Amino acid sequence: MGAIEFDGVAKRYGPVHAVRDLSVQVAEGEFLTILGPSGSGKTTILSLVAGLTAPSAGRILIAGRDVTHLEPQQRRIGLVFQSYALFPHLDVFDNVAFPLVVRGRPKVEIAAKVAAALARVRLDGLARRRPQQLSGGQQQRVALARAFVFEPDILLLDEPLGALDRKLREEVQVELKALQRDLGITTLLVTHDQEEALSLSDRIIVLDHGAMQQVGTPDEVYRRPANRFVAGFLGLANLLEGRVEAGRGLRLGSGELVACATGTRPEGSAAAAIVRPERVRLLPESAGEGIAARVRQDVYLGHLRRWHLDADAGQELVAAATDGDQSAAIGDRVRVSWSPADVWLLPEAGAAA
Amino acid sequence: MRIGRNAGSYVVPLLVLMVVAFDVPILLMLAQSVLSPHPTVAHWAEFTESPIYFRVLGNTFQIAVITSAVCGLIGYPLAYWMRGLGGRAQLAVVTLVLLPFWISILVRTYAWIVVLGNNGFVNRSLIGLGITDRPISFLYNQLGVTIGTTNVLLPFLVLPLFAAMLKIDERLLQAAATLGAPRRAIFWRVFFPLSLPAFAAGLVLVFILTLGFYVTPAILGGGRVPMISNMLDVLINQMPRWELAAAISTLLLAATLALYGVYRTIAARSAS
Repeated sequence: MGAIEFDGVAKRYGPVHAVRDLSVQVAEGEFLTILGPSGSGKTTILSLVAGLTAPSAGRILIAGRDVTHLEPQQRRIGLVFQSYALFPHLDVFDNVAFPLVVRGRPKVEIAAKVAAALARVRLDGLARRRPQQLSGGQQQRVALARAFVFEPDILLLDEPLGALDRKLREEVQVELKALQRDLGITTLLVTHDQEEALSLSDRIIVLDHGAMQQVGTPDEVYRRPANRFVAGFLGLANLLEGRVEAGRGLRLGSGELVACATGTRPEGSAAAAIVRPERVRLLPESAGEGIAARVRQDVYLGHLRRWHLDADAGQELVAAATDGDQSAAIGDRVRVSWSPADVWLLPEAGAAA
Repeated sequence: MRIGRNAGSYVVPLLVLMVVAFDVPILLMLAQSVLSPHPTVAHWAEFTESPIYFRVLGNTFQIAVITSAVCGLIGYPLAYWMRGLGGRAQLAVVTLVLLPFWISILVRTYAWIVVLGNNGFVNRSLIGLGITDRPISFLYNQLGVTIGTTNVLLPFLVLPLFAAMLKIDERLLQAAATLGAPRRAIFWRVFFPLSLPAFAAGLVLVFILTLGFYVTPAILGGGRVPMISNMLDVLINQMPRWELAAAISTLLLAATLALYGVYRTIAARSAS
């Protein structure tokens, strides 16, 4: 078990900066997710930790040990590949036993540990199957068992749920979280799926173009994003742009005032704020408050209903609610409102583009 | 495919041509061993009774085993080395391995006489270096034949093996490394088992091809290292004993088909 520390880690491929100056500490037992679009450098970070790639600058420490220049073999990490990378010539038992066998552990110990690991991922009866004979979900669990059976310091998961269908993915998410908590193992997960990141992690690093945009708890990065990229990458957001009126709120280009806390922002400075769709209330046109708008699109999502709206001032807005809580049909004129507490002024500098 | 439905009408004439011009003559030829001049087992009896034929068969199998083994010993490391090369170097080496395919076997085989003869490059170098004081006879013995067959057949093992090695997922080797396997263990526990089916298939292929080899053993063996094909040549062109040749050919065909079955089984397993 151990903490991970990134100290000014960078990776360049020629002129391309895959990872820029990453400094962050992962606490012992923490579940940290690296979230970003494809090409953001998140898998590179995982390879750097695993030792499959050498950093161009900086240091990586695992459990207080500088592993920057160690071979993968010496790092004591359990890595689950996106493709699982199960050995096709070995059966499930031998796959899981592999890390123990190459460490020369006695046969009795291997048998006991492998049996325990397989029981932990509910694959008891399948020890003598070949990986090719298993479903995607089962293969994923074999890969997981193989990665933790030798009690590594940390667990690395590269889009482990990417190849599973949606229903299975939700099941495995719950299992994975329970397993990680039981083992108490520091875990680094890489994904482009924001739902996965939000539901599994203690903290999330949001990455774009190799640079860390924000690090925080799921609640923080969702409700208080550091910038537009984070706001847009973690779900839908209504972006409101205008100038700060100190102590009152944000004056939009259209002239409306959006009440919110302005902190220490100077009067008249350009700024942007976001409101999450599920915080937006639809009111009848006759209501005296809110922004006047027309319903352009009504999207039914099962558990949710989402409305795309055109504000009279030209702004596009999105509202969402649990189906049945609110209703509006295409073409309806409504008023859009929210509580000032649900408006988050983006802390980014030079917000007005 | 659009031609699918009518494919039969295109293929049937070719099939008929194959059967009439190729398969029927072979069957007629082979049938001579039991039907000529009338139904008899006399030719087979003669074959089983004279030890000379068995000695030639044994000799042929021995050379086939040695050739396969030497091809394997040279070919596996060569293919493994090629796999690790960078793009341009890899292309260059593949071309070098392929190059002999574009030169007539006859020319290549005679070239060995120039290289390995008593006055050849190798012997002169050995004598010049003082390693030996009289020429070593490389030619007209089993050693010469084996050198020749190995040279000709090596690409048949190396190229498919190299292709199979390229298909081995690099991530499996990385996974092995992260799981703590030292380089040696990665090779013996992951890489080698994954390449084994293609390697075995290559060995069987070389073995089959050696069994029926004619030109190279004839030239480099100088008639002193009889293999099955050379014996058939003698039986047909000099004796002439077509019936006996037919009997031996039947046996050779059966052995080859059996080995081909083994080859296909292994190849199919490596593909899955």
